[in-house]
Amino acid sequence: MSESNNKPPRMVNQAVARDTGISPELRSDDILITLFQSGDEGVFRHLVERYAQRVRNLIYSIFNDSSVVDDIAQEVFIRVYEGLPKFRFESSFYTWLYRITVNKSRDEMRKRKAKKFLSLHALLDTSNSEVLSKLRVHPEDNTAKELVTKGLQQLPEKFRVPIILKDIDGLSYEEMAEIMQCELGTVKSRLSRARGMLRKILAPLLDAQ
Amino acid sequence: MKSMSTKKFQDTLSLYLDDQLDEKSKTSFEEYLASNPDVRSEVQAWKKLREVLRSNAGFPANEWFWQKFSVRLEQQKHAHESVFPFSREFMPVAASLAVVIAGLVGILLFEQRSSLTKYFFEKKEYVGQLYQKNILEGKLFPLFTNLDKDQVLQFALFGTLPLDAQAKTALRVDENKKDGARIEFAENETRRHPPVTVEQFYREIEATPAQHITVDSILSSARDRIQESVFLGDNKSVAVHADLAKFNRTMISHIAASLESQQRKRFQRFLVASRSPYTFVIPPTPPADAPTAGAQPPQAPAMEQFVVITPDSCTIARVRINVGEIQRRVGLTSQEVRSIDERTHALMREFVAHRRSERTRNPLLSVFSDSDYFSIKVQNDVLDQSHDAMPFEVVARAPQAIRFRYELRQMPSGPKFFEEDSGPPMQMFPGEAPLPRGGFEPGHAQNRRGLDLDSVISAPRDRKPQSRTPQGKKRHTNPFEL
Repeated sequence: MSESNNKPPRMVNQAVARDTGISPELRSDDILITLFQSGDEGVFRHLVERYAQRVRNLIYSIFNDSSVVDDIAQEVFIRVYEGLPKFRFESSFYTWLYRITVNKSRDEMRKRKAKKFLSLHALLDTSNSEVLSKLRVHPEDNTAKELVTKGLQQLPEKFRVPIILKDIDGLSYEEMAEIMQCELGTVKSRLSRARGMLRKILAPLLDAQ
Repeated sequence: MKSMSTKKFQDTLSLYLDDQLDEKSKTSFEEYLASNPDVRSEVQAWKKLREVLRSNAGFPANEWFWQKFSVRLEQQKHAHESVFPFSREFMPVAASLAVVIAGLVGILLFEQRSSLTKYFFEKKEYVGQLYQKNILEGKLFPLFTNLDKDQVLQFALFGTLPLDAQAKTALRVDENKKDGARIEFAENETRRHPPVTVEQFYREIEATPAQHITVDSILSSARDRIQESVFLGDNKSVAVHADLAKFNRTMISHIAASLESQQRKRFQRFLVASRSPYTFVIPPTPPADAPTAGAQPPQAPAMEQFVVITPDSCTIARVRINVGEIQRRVGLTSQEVRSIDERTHALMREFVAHRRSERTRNPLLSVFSDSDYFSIKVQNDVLDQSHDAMPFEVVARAPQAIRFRYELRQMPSGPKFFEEDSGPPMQMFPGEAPLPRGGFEPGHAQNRRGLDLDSVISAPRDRKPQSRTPQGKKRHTNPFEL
């Protein structure tokens, strides 16, 4: 899935030549993109169907609002459709797609001036009563998930995204750096701080186990 | 491993959880954890946190995502197609080009500003002309279709035309070099002078049967001309031909030209006695081509320039009148005439209501009004030169009597007619004694009794008449009393 940022553009056309006869679903991203760039717009559907759910998951993790997921996901894929003819294979399609998703989400957040569902203080203030009463939960417990999600929403966007990319999507630091468009050290530092902040927010939940 | 700061612990723990520590750092950190049981629980909490987060990743799939997305994608494609005639990749170039073109156009406009100003001014003028052309759209009705000869003669003598059967309102005109053309709609205008009839005129000048025919012809032709000079428009407008303002003088001139020498003198006396503000000047030796008896009536020139008045505007417009159509409408029914009368009155009221001594934008066109009049003054500069020839020059005998109401209202001491007939006495004929001030009593053309003009002419309504002869005897104030 991951590809180095500094890799030279691959000889995708040769791969396409060897790839004939394989069903589109089984073709690699690079092959599909090359076909698209050659004028076969029909392959775009396979790219969308391949990544739609991951994109939607990422958006949902960022917003925790199911009503905006499909709208933003559609905007992301429209942007992909517009940018795909110029895609130069300097990064993986997946990373590029994630970068577009994160940027679109940021734009949407600015647009909506989205604030957190609960203020940090509101959540912290409930530590001893409400939250503690819900601590006797297993990680699979929906209530625990809900609390974690809400806790995640308390984080500023620049700390929320690294946690989502790493702990939810399981990306590498390099991929995160590419998506977040920052240095590797910044990714590490930001992720560490984000985890610390979330740990503090969810202390009642975590300490009770 | 010694104790570490919270920040360093967090950073190391984060890397440890992601398996990003090298072997040495990892071993060292694990030793630290082993020697510090307190922080082991922290590691467990972080691991638990990550576990919860990972379990939280799921979001229900949408099987119809592609179908919905494809519809939106098509809309997006069409939106781009309809807005830009080129690919989006050329947008920056197109935008730069647009900025450059806008700059060039701006510079060009700035450099050509004088030409543009002129162009737009001309366009404005053109639009103004179009407005003028359209201002009289719709049906036109001639206002004066049933004038009799007496009324035509009164128009010649006084410049007034009755706007209704009772002569409560009248149109009055005049024209001279100083004031230009003047047109006034006013109440009681015809009451300012006594009625004059053609029969009286014939008696006074002792007209021959041939002169009867000639003068009748002049009056008849003048009646037609007047008929084609004033119109009531469908769109609440009144159009008055600019030449009408001096047509009454033209008539006097032509009537005089149709008379013999002695009859002209009688005609002059008749003008005085009937309180006409006009007279005509007979040159010492009439020019060779000067018309004499039997002169042709004035020919109507191309009547195109009209003063068009609406409740909201007053302008000079060139109007093409379908004379044939007007002739067809001359035979209006009494009901139609009544309707026109009513419309005229309503319009006059509207004119008066809309204007109070205001000036139009055109400095050569002035509009004045009060509760009982509506007056327009047009400088000669904007009027076409009249084609009407005047065999004899017709001048103001009594300049004070030429004044229109807007002038009288501006005078501080009120109207005064004839009483300031200053200057040397008028000598009408070479070698003859000057005319006495005031003229002669009608019906006694041969009797040159000198009369004080003030005593002949009744004073305006607000003044008590002073009807006394120089000998102190009373006489009638109305010389045409029948």
